[in-house]
Amino acid sequence: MKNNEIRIGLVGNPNCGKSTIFNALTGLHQKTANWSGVTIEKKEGTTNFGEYKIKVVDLPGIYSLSAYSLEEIIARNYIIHEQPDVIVNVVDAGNLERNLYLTTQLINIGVRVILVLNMYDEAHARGMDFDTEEMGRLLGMPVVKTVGTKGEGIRDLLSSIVAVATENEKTVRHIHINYGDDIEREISIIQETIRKEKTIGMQYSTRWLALRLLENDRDVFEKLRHFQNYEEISFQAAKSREEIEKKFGDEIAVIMAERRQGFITGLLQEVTLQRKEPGPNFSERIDRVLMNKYLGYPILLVFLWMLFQATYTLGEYPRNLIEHGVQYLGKLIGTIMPEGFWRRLISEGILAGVGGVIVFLPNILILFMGVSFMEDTGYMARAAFIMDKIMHKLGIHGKSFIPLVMGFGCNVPAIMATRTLENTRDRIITILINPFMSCSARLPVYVLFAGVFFAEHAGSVILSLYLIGMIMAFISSRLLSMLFFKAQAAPFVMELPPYRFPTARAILFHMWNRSSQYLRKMGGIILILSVAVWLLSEFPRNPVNVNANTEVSTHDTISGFEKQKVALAHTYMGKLGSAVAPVLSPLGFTLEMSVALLTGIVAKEVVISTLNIFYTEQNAGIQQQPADLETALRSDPAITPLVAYVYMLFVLLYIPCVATSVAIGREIGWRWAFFSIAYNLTLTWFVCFAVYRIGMLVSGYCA
Amino acid sequence: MSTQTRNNEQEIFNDSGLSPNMEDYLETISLLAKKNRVVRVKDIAKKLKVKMPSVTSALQKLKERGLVEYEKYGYVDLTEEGENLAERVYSRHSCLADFFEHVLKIGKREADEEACRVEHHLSPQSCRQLKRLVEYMNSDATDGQWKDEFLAMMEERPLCELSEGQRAVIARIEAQPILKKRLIEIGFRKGESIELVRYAPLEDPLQVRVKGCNVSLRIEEAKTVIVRPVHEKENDEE
Repeated sequence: MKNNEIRIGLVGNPNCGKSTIFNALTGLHQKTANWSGVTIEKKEGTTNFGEYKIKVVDLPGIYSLSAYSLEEIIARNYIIHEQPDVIVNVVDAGNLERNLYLTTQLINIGVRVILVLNMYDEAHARGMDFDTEEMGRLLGMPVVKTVGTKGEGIRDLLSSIVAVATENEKTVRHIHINYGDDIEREISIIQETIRKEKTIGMQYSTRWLALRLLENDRDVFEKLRHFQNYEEISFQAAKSREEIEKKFGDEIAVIMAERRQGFITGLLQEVTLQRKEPGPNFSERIDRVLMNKYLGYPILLVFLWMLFQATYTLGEYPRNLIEHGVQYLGKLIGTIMPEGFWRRLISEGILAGVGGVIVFLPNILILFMGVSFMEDTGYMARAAFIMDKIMHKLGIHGKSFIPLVMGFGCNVPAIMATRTLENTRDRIITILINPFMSCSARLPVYVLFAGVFFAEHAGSVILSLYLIGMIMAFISSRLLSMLFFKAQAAPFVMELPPYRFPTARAILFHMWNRSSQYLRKMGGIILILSVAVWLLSEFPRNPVNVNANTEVSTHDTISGFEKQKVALAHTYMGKLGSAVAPVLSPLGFTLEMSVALLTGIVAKEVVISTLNIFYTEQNAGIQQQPADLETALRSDPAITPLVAYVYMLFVLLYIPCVATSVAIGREIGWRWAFFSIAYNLTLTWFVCFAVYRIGMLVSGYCA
Repeated sequence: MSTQTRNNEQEIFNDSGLSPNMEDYLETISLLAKKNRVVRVKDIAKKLKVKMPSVTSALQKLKERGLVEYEKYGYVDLTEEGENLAERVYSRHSCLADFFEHVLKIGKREADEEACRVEHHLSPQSCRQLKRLVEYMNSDATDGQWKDEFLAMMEERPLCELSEGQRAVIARIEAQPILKKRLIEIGFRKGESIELVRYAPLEDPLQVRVKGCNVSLRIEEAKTVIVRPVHEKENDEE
């Protein structure tokens, strides 16, 4: 402990209410990042108590410290290497038998622990009560009762943290869990072997090492590899392990788990004041309806429909309000500032960029309210349960279902919603296939082209696009799991937590947290990229005297709209368009269409406004006149229905928009974001090429 | 059962001298006769899942051997000899079904189906021995400790073979290390009681309750957990 600063780490099983304790401790003073090198969220926060500043790190939810999963390795390395002053072990008071397993492992490591019996009210309501003082005495650590959602017991916890950190807590003592004579003998033999190298003992507890070696913990073997007596240690550990396994006729993992369980059972016998056997309870009754063979799916559908409606229909009103506000601001600037570069930069570049960032905010707020409601009530796990068979066929987890469906609205919040997935592998795949879910921004493009070129079958054409998107998601998911995640997916051993009424406070907190993260982390980059694209399509300014006599266009018609075309062709964006045109022309796209695709990277609906610039006489497209655009498109001989279809397909599949790419980068790292862009572009090109060529062949035969 | 007297202990498993096919017909007619008042060709066809003309031609053959009485479009009746033979065939069937159900601890319906498939090929001696084995296993006369253990062992099955609402005790976990570790941590241990709460609507995954807490498992994972079903009295449900 330095300068009255206490560092604590929060550990606990999934679903023990650890995050409610974290929130109750730190309030709004938190920040999130990723653990270095991995995509697991690291939450940190601070709080002041008396003269002490307490820094809290929320470790991933884990069942044990055995280093099988990434989460376990992170938690363990933090505890061992960062050496926080106090470990706060949060447990579900209603399920101590299981939750205390992790506690026994913390005891083995020999760190200073405070045991938090969370959700004590719930356990109490179910007829349980424990003698916490006796429990603390037997475990050698203070035990605090809390109700995280209501903030009860948090002051006790804080004062306990200070007492332990300042070594004023009398209950703290180091206890040993007795594994029985046979095992204890082997443990001390291994310990002796380890002690031959004195430096090891300075870094780790030898008893813990001996136990972990006995349990064949590869990570610990790795840690000891560079010590001189490594060979001897590993030989002894193997010998002891064999000895024990032979004696008890079972695997070491099972034997040790049983011993720890025995310790827990004994402990609970001592400290339980009252307990009732839980019968079929409230949760089971709800489950009978929500997971019913016939009702399960319709109910899930209704929930999703409501979530979707709330997110994208209800979110539409504030969204429009924001858009109008931005437009109004643009006009205001128009009246204040003189015509020229700066005015255009502010009104068309920056304001449009800001608009592009904050228009998503209402959707994100509402979606996260819904998602956190589903999570906090416990319904999310049920949805995953009934959807898992289908999702498993795609190579992902049942929980991926919700983010994928949300992708039909907007990929950005959908990608953020993947945080409910605990497994990194599932999360990465779910994020990478999410852009194939056709978001609502792509719909205007379909509506335009399908309306013009497939008037009578517009509905089926649009539906086919949605389906192709889903098929691509399916194929990509299989492909990705084959290429990058060969190792078998984590088991689907998922808890179905009891239903709980979430507190408004928790939900608001969740909402606020996500939204502020979105604004802070993604807003800036999206803004910068939007302005950059605007600049590219604005510069270099074409010579003012570009007039009807400039011979650039091969078309004969000379009009204002030709001028406009020429103007855009001059810009960097236009040049980029010409540069990529050769790549896109095998797909039948014209130069104009190619440039529109480039600007569509900002947001896919921008494709339309760019086409608008090219094909209509209107000035740069805030004011769209789709009627004109439709006739213009129809009269362009280069755009056959086939080309139009391939174009829609391209818009569906190609590069995730700027906001989505940034979301991917922020969630799972820029390497994956670039991979996603490259993968999507390649896939899109080949799919479109195939469709175009086959379409040509077929129409050739038919003709 | 009046026919029982006609087959004594020694003859009961003797060969009927009929083809497996004919044995099935005889057995079916006898079963239907016990269940319904009258036996019609239609019922036989339905039960054996064959076409009516096949039934008619089979009945013709049985009639030639004097085992049934049957006129076209009329009811079917077994002759005394026919009933006698049917009884023999059925004894063989039930002795096998008992063995599958009570010793090998296969579910009642599966045991019945299994017996249908193999009954025609069993010698009288094997039948007799099987019957003795079943009787021994079911009797209380002997010191039952090893027998109980043996029968409990035979009842062991993968978790995913339990039916909804069935309770069991975990016998062992045969999973790969990662899954095994996870299962142990979440509370799956030898001797722990476990209840299969429900299957997901698409039959996979399934929900179990262990240590008062609900956990979902995929079928492929549940296969690795071997359990012994618990037999409980009907009355302790809610």
